[in-house]
Amino acid sequence: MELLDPAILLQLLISGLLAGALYALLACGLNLVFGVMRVINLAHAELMLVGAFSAYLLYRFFGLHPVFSLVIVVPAVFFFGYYLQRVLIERVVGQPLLSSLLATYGVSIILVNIGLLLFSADYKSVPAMQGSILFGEIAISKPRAVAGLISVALTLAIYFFLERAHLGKAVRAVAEQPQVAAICGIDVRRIRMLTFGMAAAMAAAAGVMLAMIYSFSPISGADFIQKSFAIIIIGGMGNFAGALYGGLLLGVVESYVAGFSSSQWAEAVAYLLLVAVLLIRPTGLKGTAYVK
Amino acid sequence: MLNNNRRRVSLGLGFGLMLIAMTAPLYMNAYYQSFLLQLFMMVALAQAWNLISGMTGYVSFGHTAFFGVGAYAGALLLLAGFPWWLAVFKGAGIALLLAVPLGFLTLRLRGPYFAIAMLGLNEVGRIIATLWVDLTRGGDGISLAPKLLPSLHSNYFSMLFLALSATLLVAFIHRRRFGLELRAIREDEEAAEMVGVNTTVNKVMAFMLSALIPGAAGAVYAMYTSYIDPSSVFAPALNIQMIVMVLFGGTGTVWGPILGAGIVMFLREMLWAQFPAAHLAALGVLLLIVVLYLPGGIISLFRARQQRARPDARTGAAP
Amino acid sequence: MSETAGASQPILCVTNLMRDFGGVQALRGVNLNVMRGSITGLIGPNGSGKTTLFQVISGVDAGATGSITFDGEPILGKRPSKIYHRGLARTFQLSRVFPELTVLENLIVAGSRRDHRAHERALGLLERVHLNDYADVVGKNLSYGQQKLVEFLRVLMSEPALILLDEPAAGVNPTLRETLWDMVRHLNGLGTTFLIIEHNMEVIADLCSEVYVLSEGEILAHGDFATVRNDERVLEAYFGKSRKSSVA
Repeated sequence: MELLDPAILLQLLISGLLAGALYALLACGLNLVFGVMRVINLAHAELMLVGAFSAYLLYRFFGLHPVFSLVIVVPAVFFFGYYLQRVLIERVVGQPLLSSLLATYGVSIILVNIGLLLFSADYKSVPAMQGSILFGEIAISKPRAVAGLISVALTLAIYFFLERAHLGKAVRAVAEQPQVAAICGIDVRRIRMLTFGMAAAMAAAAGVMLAMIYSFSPISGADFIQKSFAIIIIGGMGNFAGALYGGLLLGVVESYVAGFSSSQWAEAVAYLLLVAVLLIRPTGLKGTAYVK
Repeated sequence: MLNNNRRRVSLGLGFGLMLIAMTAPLYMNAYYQSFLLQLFMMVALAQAWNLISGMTGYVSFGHTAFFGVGAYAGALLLLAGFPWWLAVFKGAGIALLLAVPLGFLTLRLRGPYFAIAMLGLNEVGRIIATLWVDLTRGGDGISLAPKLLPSLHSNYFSMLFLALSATLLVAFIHRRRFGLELRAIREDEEAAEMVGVNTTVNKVMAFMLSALIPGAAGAVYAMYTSYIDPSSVFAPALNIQMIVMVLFGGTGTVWGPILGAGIVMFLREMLWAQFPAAHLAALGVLLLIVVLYLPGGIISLFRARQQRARPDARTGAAP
Repeated sequence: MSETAGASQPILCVTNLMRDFGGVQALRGVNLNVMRGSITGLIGPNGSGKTTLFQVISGVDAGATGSITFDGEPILGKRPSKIYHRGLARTFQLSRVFPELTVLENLIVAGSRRDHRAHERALGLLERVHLNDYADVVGKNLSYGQQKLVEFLRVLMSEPALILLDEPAAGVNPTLRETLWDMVRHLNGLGTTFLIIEHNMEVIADLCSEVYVLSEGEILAHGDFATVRNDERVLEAYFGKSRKSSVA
């Protein structure tokens, strides 16, 4: 194989960007929660798996295509997140870091093990779509293309919601100055519930997309949460747009490393990037500000 | 006077437990000895975590990195022909030495950044162990031939020794100037530095000590199980268990981690047989209960009673 | 500007100190000498750079340029803990008592590691301000005024030669405030030098032999309080720019 063939380079770039889009969707949700309430949600990847297994069940029993199951799964997980915030996460907001880490870790363990009880540790997949699209010499698998494009669309939709919509601005106000926001008549608790709901929904959407292209099991969350951490550190903690760039960057670098050496080394990329960034810039590449 | 009383109870309890632990191999079968061995390992690990995270407030999600390093070093040295005790000793030493540069690098990071960096560190360890096939045999793992291994009794007493020394280390530091400085760092790092505490040196020292114990425990663990692979020793789940045990028992205290390890291991053993997956879910529920309702851990229940019983308790002079 | 030297020697010399926060110049070439054995005041409008100056001198803020010598040795860029052990201590504007440590522990941790009588000395200090009943109370259970007093006692544990006090009396009730100023006078009588940020001009007039006025990151004037009070530029800095034309 000619490694420096431009077609191969382009092929790797595109598949990297498509995988990166999925990472970005996942990591943006994690970063949104951190930005708004300074909580690191260790159960974020498990919320993703809730999406993935829902898509699996809907496909298996009703033959529903994952793209359509988004319509059911995303709102459902939104409400799950919304109420999880209300009964649990809200109580550790403003507490020392350890409290929120452990509370969300508790949620993570519970979800993983419910998953194991229901589905066992065997890998599942949703083979709803096959085949590739050919552009000259470049072949892109259809499920990857669809998953990548939907992920980008959803991430951008949330981004513009935060930037433009009235409610989105309220979310940003709570992120920057919760006290001031409260004085200005914003229902801070409700905004936090909305935020966590949105983040959970983003994770679930990423999960549905994931189900189309990878196989997964209840314990797959660990890899993804680690990647998401790498991404938000690279992009800057609490920085929504930073997570988008970080996700795409990780996807592309992983794709090239996998192309040129082995997929095992590609696994290591996220951590090496993470550690490197922390050593060079202890606060991440884009500081800690929320958006911008 | 009251303090002395508490100390006497502590010492008595400690001696009692030690007596049981020391004589257990005489009347317990291998199954119970194995259970106790694992309990000692968890006590040692929980105390190590307590030392860095409980005292300085730097939450480590990657102390298993040192456990893994110790396990691999111990196993490889054993294969290289070293006697088991020397392999354990050297394994611990390697973990300690590794903690110096890692401590200087990671302890500059605050709050979530430190927690995530440590999580990453454990993963880096796992990946290196997987990819450096020439040294570690990669994902196949390392099997240790039975003739190389120390007896169950040796492992039992090694782990007991580790649990005891880790506990004594925490108890010793807790009462000393060093412990006071670590707690000051936990409360307000900048203010601690302002009143003359060299925060970097203190943090790195605590980090080194807290790496030494998992390093040794990892090496003994490798000899106890006779087989290790990257994901069994660089295991985030193990890190979580130590955290849960410390928190459940009482962070930053001497008895908390022992109490926590004892109760959690007991529950695990009880539940494991009946519900293999559910027992971990139960651990999750336990975690939520502790975080939400018992931030001081089980030990705070005893403390609170003691406080109320004290006639001259000066609880808070002003709001 | 150096006619005030007199017979005594400066213990702290700050020369041409600059601090830039991403384009905003918080300190623009500050020159300041604190004479050994004096109580020197540092006044100036809000945002003039007083606390930044303290942050830099005490080593917390390492991003400044210029020179600071304390007791003849350069200290700019040294670790705060090192500066502290050289004999230069400071308190914070808002109390930074260690909340979960007892009052006694709060004091002991600030003493020298080699001080074997730290325990007794801590109790002695507490007795002096009638806080000895609170020795075993944790920091967060004290009133705000008590916390500030404990913070002050804390830095006394190392018997520093120079103490920087950042609004030590703010938020402290009048009785404790008097206790505090009495302590300052008493320690000064024993030879301790003070540099104090304070907004109450009566206190400054009463305590300080020399006063520096900081405005927009520069020393506007210095001298005894009467001189400084009548300085045109000082009045302008405090009361507005309306008379700008009258100053060179």
